[in-house]
Amino acid sequence: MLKKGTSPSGMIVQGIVALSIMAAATASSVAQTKLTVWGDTLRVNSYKAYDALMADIDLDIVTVAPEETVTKLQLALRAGSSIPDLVFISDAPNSAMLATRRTNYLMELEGRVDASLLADFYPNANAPCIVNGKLVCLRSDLAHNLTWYDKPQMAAFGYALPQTWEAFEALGADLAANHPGYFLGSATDPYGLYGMIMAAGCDMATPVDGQDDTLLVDLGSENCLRAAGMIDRMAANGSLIKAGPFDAEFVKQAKDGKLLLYVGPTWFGEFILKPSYEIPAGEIAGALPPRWADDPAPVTWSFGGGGFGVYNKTQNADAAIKMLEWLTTSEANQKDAVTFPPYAPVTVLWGQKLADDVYYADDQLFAAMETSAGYADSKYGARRFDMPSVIGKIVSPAIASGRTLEETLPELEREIANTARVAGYKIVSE
Amino acid sequence: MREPLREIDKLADQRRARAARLMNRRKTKTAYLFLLPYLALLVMFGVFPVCYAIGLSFFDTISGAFAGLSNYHLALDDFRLGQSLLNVGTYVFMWVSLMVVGVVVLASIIDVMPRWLGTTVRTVYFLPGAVTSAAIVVLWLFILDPQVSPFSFVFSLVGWENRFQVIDSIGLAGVFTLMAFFAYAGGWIVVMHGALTALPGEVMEAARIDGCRPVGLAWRIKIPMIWRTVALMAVLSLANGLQLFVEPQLLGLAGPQLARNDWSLNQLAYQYAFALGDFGVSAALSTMILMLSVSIALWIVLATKFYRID
Repeated sequence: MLKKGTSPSGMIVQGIVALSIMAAATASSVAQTKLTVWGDTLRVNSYKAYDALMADIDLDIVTVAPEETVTKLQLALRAGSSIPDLVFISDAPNSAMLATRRTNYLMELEGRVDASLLADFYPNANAPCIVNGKLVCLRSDLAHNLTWYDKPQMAAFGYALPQTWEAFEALGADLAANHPGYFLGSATDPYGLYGMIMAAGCDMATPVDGQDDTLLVDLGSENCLRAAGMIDRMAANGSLIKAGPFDAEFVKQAKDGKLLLYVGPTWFGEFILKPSYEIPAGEIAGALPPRWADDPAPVTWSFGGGGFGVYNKTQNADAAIKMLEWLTTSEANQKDAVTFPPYAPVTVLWGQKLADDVYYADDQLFAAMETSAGYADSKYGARRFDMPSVIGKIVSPAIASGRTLEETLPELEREIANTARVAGYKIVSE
Repeated sequence: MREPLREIDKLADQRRARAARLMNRRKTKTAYLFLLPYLALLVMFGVFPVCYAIGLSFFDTISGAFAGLSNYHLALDDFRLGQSLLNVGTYVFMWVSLMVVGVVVLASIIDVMPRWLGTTVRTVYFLPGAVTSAAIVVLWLFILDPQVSPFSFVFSLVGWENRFQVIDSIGLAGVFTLMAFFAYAGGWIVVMHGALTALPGEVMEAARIDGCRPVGLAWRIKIPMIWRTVALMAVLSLANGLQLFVEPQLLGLAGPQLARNDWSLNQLAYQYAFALGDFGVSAALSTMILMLSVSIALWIVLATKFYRID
């Protein structure tokens, strides 16, 4: 619509002037905001795209190996120079290591990031970014669990998909009796064990509301015991094998088609089942992970998934926050992301390619991922110590040498409490 | 006629002595000149970091205030310290013993071999040492997995079916001992063999004429003559062993269930610095490891009168 009193020719002149200003701006004269950003090789692609997209942003991109990010940040902070404005945290719970009194790197994001954006993240997607009640990072991708299964083989054996952990255990017992050699996962993999114990609602290290740096560690509860009992019985009958999903033995059996069903993260299909276990097309399907019969809904644990955080003393807070929002929620960056995006509105677009993928046995995979995201456990949170390391130290060798998880629980509880205390937590047991 | 000549001789002697002294001094100067780049690097990357760490260990990481011995208290209070000390102690004991026995025996065997065979075998022993320790860990993880190991028949004889059982049965200290032995033994065999070949031939000849057989010759004559080299190897291996880090740190490559981030003392120091950001406690731990290895080395050197020239 033309405004009154503005002639068409005047509009054209205004338009030309405006265009030439824009041209001049993109050419050179726009003030450049320089941001230093750290990320792994995958994230560097996103950074480059953002750098190309934004005329007024000049990125200094540094590639940092995921496992070195925390280490290098500690050094940069100690040196007081070369501190990045924005970082990728490859394992989101590590955010806790970057928001301590000693390593005070991450900026509190509440009130800075657009609240309407935050509302559309999947439930608890940002739980591992909350340290002592403060939101200090945004998730880059989610990795919650699904039930991955061999659909034609399940049908051939005449099994129904287990909806509960009780049915999961019964399936294992039936397999052991009638189809020996087939199995449902690992009894020694720390990440798998962590997921199964937490799905039962065990308080391995639950932050206590309203008390900073305080964790509830109680492994003697009925919730922990029901998970331990299930794992012990399944390890005994061989339906959970004593090798981890990346071990030669596990891979060999999975390649032979013996892995009937596996409760594992969203990336398991694309990055393990397809390339590593070489499962043929048309066999793999995904479903909502099991719940305990007494529980109203499943509690889904996660294995991986990163986040982005911003330096709390950055000179360019607004630019860094804007970039953070783009990285996590923009269609441009997340529609073709490698792993499941955390922000629901663009994730729907991302899921389209799964629906079109003929590799999977049905078109229900993305729906299962979305539903499962809705049950993400709020206890999958930020910790200043690595729980899988603790499980790997205490539980994995014990089970491998024939002891039970149940008899290991007191030892595990002591180790968690001790490790947490060294990391500066107060421990309560009730 | 005799007197003036003697005078001249004396003068000539004096002049020769002065020339020799000058020459010596010039030689020393040249030696220091050649040493200078090394000394500079030693100060920059050896002495300075050690002094910096010792200083750091007495200060609080956040406030930067002088903290006295509190970092040392925190480090000594760590619930993992005792176990790590035991782990590293066991490893060092096993490794140094194996080095002393294994290297001396192998070098002595090479010494009595025909020359061409000895040189070949020595080169073969040296080869594993050319692989870096990080690569050796990966190699060993394969060797210790009955599923993929070329020696799986050995494991199946003993009844070990998976890597866990293998590592559990040998023990982590045993595994690291094996890794380190194959990484370092080759180099020391070359040194030890060098020491053996340098022994005076006439002594060996005399012993042989007196009826000494090869084993007796090695045990009674050769080894007592090269003990300094053996002691040097023990001291250096000990200092190296106490700093064990790469091998346990890289175990996680074989899967998270094998990962150990607190097995050795150096790993604990690493955890404090880079997981908790507490450089003070980390420096205190490192300083204590340094003190430990320096005192053990000093003890060996003094007890064996290592530097005494007889």
